[in-house]
Amino acid sequence: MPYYITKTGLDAFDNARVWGLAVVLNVITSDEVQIEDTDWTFIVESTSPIPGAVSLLRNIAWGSVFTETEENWQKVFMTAKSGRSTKRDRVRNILQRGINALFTSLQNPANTVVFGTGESLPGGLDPTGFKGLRHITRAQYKEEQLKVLEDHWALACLGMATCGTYRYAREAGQSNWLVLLPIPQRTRFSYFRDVKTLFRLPGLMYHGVQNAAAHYAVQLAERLRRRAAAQGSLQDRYSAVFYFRLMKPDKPTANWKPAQGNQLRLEPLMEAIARDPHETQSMLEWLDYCFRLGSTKGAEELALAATELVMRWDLDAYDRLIRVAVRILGREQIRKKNQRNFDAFLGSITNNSIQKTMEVMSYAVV
Amino acid sequence: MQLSNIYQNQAVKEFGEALGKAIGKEQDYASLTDLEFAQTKTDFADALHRFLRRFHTMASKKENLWYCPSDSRVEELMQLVDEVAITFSGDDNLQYREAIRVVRAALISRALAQATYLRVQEARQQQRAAIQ
Repeated sequence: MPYYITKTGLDAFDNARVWGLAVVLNVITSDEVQIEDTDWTFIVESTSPIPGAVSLLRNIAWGSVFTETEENWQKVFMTAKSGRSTKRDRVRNILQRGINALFTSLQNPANTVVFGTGESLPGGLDPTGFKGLRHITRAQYKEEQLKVLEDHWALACLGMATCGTYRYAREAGQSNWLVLLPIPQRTRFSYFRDVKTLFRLPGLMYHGVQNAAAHYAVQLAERLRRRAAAQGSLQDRYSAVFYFRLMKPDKPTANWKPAQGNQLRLEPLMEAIARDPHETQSMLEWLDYCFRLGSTKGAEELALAATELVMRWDLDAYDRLIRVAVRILGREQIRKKNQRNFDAFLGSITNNSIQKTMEVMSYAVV
Repeated sequence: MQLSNIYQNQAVKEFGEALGKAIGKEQDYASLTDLEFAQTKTDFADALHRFLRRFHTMASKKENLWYCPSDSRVEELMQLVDEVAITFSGDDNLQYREAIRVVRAALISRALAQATYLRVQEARQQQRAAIQ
């Protein structure tokens, strides 16, 4: 039975609902869930049939969804001054109470989300939830909270807590949270812990949210490549990584505010993996080490050049990356600071990795 | 013409590998900068000739003889620039500027792979020497 998540235009909210619904269906059926992006809507379908009336109340897997993602729940509601755990419990109660009605509503392909009533969309979930972004506020700051229906709000919060990635970074005297969420194109969802593994970000020092998003994209592509190499073809595709940054100045009264956000298209990498999952390995390894070595002090330009290439896949970006890479080779101080990644970076530069990167560029239409 | 095809061109391969040797063994970043500044066809040809002369000098001082690309390879590279230029639209200046960027990117890519290979070899030799 297919369920439809109609797109509202709020990217993070829509995608978080898709992931949330996939988690709920997976918990109920203990089986694979398929997600497909069909332009105006996401279709989410479980492989096993859903029993007539569903109860989440005594489901052990359902309980673990909340206990194992505790950290992320705090981040989803980071803009709330208090009661974050209460909000998490509210998500749980809403879904336990209203899951059957929600399923019935989502089976209708023409279902829509009504704005203006229900729960406030948290800024830690979707930056459009912040006041002052949707209308001209002129001199006075009078915009209302963006409210969405409570069952859709609960689904979105669940999806973001289970499949979103939050990374703290401190830059130029202010606190930042980098937030990342993958956008599925045609994906199978087996278990929420698998998703956590797939979307894990290494503990590196990033130079901004775009740098983090680009490395995240390369890491995700590598994990999908490994699966594709094992299975013979690329089964799971993601269309983009949605990313945004929340910042807070160093003042006791300051609140979190949205700073920047966008989508990083993944099609060029997905196409490359689909063409040849084995040969793409060297290219992804090279890019990965560009990011890893680029996190070293003094090699920032390498990380930024690699970021530009992964975001644009054009000649300008490629040209910049190879020029920077050639110059990094001769910098002994970087080798001394990060010997392991420097050697691995050298080892990853081969004719094959360069050739494959060029091929992605020639296919890329971003 | 795609960058990956230009990368396979024999003249690009020989010249790029020579540039890689110059960078990897002799830290010759001056030639790289010289090539990077070339915007017109004449500038690019001059930069290639200058590099070739420098490379001949470097190679002559080496005990293990280095293979030097011949002058005819410069001509082949310039022919390649002509071939790539006609694939771009716009006036002559624009077409050649774009073509030089593409051919240069392929050259530097070859140089990067070669310079890296030499650095890795050097590191391994140092490791072996340290063990012995």
